[in-house]
Amino acid sequence: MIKAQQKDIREIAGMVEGCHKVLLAGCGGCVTVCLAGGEKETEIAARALRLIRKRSGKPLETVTYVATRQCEPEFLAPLDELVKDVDAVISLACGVGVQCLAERYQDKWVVPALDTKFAGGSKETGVWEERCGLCGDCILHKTGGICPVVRCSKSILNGPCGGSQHGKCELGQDIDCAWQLIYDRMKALGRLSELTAVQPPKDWSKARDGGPRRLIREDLIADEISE
Amino acid sequence: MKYLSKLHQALAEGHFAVTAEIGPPKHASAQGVIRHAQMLQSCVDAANITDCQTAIVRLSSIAAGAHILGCGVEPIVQMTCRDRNRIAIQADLLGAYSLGMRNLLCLSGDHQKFGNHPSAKNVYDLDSVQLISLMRRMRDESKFFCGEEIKEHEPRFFIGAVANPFADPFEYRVDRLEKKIEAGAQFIQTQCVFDMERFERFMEMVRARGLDQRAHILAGVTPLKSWRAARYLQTGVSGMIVPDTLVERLKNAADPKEGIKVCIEQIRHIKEKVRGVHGVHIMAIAWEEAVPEIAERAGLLPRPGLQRRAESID
Amino acid sequence: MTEHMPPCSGACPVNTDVRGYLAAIARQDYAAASRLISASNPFPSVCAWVCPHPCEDNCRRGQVDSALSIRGLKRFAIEAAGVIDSPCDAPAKKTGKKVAVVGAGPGGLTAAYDLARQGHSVVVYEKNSGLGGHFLTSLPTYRLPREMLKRDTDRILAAGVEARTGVEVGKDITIARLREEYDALIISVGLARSKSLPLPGADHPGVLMALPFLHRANTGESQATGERVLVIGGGDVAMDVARTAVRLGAAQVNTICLELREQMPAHAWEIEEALDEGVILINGYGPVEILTKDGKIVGVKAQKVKSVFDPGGKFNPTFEPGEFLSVPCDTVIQAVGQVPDNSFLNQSGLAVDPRGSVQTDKNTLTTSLPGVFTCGEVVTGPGPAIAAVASGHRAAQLVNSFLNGAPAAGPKETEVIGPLPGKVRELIPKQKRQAMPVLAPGSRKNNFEPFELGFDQKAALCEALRCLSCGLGARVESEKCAACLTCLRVCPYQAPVVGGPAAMPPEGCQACGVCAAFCPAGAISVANLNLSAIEDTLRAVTEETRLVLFTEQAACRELLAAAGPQMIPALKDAAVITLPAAGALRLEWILSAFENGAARVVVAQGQKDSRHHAGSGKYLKGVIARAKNLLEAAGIPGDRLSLRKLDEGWPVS
Repeated sequence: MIKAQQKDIREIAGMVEGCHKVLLAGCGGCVTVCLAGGEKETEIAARALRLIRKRSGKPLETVTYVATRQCEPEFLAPLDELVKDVDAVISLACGVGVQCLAERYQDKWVVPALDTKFAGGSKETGVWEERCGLCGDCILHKTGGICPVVRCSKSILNGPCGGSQHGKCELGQDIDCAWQLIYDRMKALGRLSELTAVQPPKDWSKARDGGPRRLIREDLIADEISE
Repeated sequence: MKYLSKLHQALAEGHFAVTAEIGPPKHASAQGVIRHAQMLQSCVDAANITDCQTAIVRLSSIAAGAHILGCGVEPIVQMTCRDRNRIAIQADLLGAYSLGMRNLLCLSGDHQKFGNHPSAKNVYDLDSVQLISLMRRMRDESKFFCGEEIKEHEPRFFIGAVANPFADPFEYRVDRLEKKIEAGAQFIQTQCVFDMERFERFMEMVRARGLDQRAHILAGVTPLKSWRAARYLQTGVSGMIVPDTLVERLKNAADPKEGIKVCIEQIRHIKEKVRGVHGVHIMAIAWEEAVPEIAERAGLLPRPGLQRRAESID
Repeated sequence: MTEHMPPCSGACPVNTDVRGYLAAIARQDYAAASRLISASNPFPSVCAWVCPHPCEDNCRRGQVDSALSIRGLKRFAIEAAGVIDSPCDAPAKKTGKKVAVVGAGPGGLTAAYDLARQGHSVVVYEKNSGLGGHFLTSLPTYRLPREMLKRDTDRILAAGVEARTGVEVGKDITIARLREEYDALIISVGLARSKSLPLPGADHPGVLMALPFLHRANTGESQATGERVLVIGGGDVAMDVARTAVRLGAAQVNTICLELREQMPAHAWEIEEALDEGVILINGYGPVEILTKDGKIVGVKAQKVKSVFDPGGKFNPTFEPGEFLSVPCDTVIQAVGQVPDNSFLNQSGLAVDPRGSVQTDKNTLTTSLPGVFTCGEVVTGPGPAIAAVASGHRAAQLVNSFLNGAPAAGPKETEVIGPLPGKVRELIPKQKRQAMPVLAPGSRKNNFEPFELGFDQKAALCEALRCLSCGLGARVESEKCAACLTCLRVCPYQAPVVGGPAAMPPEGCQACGVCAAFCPAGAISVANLNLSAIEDTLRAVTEETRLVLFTEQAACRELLAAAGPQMIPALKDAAVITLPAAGALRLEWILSAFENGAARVVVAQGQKDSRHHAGSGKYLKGVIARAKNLLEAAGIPGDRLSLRKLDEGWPVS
């Protein structure tokens, strides 16, 4: 799932400095799961902003609402009433949610409260790690189920580079060398020979090319004409 | 037989080759580079020009190469994958060849985190293995990286790569070397050898696979200026192994040039004892003036006075 | 939804809200505790002294270390608060219906009390001169001071019940007559007579019966008890008799019963206390003859028991042929069970069963005559008084609906929470049960003074806080749950089950509140955490509030044990919020406290070895650090918020 992190409250406060009343919109999807933008965090952000503003002599009124998922327009309908009398909307969703709100409320100042970090999973309580670079062209079957695109600092497809030592990346002891992991796993699986093939340059056109990527499922496109 | 470069010829003719390294400056004057080149002129077969080493912005490898060529030193242009995508790499290498560069060393490059622009976006559009393979195809099949034909004047580099016997996983390092050779690497420069025992084990595996027959392996050597420098390399640089005994030897030495002595011993050992090594690459970090002395005292001089017989397109 | 009842309440015949009153004691709201105790039990004072407490036998803390001392706490609460009528005690509108209750034992008085409170006119007929049945006549006074009984019966009378004592139904007035005068009748005469074994020699005048013996002892009537007393029987009554005999000065008191020690029907503690007082048990022998010589009792001959129960578990003793024992004694007291005194049936017209007792439908509590009901031991057979109370409640309910012509409500759907899962047992910190202080055997065996001394406040608070708050745990609003697994990751007991939306099995959940504090979706509520009270407290915070104190219960106890709240000046104007565990603290609350103007916030954690929930506070440091960062963003110095462990001394000077 998408992992995000709340921005420093001072930065968020700065974005709504001139506002008197704001709506804090949480999201019940990924950012709830990663404890960044669900009901609890929305409430914390609201209280912290009010506290900051009260202390600076310019009280702020807050309204909170948590959408089931901000990335779906259907779930935003209940916000329509709430946004009417606020000066700004603070979205506690990922970048997708922020943009969905900005698109829906054309005349409203919509600001992000989170930094959207990556697609990843939980390592332990309070620790998440990136696992997928959303490159659009999965090669995990060639690398033992370990993604060098995001887990190698250089995204090397024919690794490891010369900086790999004792299983760690040259960038630091807290980063596992993805290629050591790949090597170990392929070795354990008896598939080391597959690593001798030279991996060709990646087709990055599937990752970022010509505006936002788009998925189209033909079987879900209604055929209005013949109906 | 036509050779791609003087270095190519020296190696092909069975000379124990000597290369050194020139680090371009952090400014726009070539004076220092030229002085270095003049110093090295009679004692090396070619000199590597690093490409913004440790990700610190410096005068470009290709431009510096043009300067030292004028001093009679054959450059080995270094090209990292960190800063350029496949378009920039090809453009620069066409330019380099047009300027008379004949040797190319392909490498991944140090991560930008270590340099003076840690917030830069790295590129790594290609990795080193891919770069080697595409440059070989450009030369041998006259094709751009995309497959499009180069109608005339394709660049014909003597292609090199690096290998690090001191990084992990150890056994896989030989696999990866083979991958690079398979991809088209003709010469290999290794990471600085301090742990001779490990290097010899590495070479044993290299020989067992006949890789020393398929590419020229140049062992990297470094004269250490002080025991502190040794300790730094031992603990502060990933992918280096510096034995404690060496650190101790430097610490206890009275001679300030003990590092040079060690280096000479290493070269002699490699040259005489380690089969399959075809030369040395002397990386005198911040101690370039030591190279002539090392070459001299290690019995590497004089260098074969090769005429420029390499094929050329000019 | 089925209510998950804690096993203590489940085991209590009147389902007393044990958990509720223990929590009230823990927060020192003794009035509330007393109200909860009295809510379903018109004999709170009596039960506080003598209830055999099935609640304790089922307490889940017993699976960790030892059960809560529930009866001891009940006594503490009752004494600290005095009996308080439950809120529904406002006099009901008179219905004009009249009910007669025969027998003023716990069952009859309960029925009378309930019916009176429902507005019926109730008259209780009792052949004894006072109210309370066995409470009055049979229970030794060293176990039940009679002023406790009077306190309860006074409260029953105050509810409008009229008592006619010294009136024997069947002799002074007949059932038939009562039926004419009243709209309904409840017969609750109990088991008023001691059973007698048909042994050779049993008709000797030196062979006494348990109930008359106890009654005389309680009223201080002199009775000839010899030097060497032998009590026949192995139940609680036999123990009462033996201990009473000790107190009356017998030099030697033996008890003899068929059962082996561990099979004895008496409660283990009763046996222990009797042994402490010098009573000798003779187990596994059945008396066969009372031996007399020169018209005096000289002993009892008993035969060795082979087995007490048959393979089907039925009472059916068999004996070893030819193995006899003779126990010398000069007095024999039979305590082998009680039977009803059926003299009330005289001219009643009520149908009787083959044993001569009134015929009763155990479910509807009806008899062969319309409008005549029964309750108590007459119906249930011998059992604890609290079971008779439960029967009295049921009878009142049925009679009330009979009088109103409306059907009675069926029993509530409840499910008792199952045992603690093994791994949870391991994770719950052990806490020693407070021992009930008692008079030493030497100083109690020659008098009838109450021998249990009761808990002091410190012991009571410690003990009350041992309650595991069974069933007050987390509930998940599954529509809000994102199945993020946070609850499972932060739970000190690994109790949540997260397949789809999280589930919180009441067996494993220990109600510490940590999961709710961390749930990012606000999907978890914890019954043990009074959220609205916490928010009310926070709302009441103003610029005048010098301190907001969040404290876990254990810390609170230590604090109070040390000084009492009024002794700490800094706490005088403080808003104190008590949490089941410090880990239940929410960052939002800290922000609210400061937003409303609090000068300082202190979070107090109890001493490590007395913490109720191990590992529940391991995230506190991080939460406090984050809160400080937010406060500093608002220009509030971080040192105005502090986390203090009581190990390091009391945080507020």
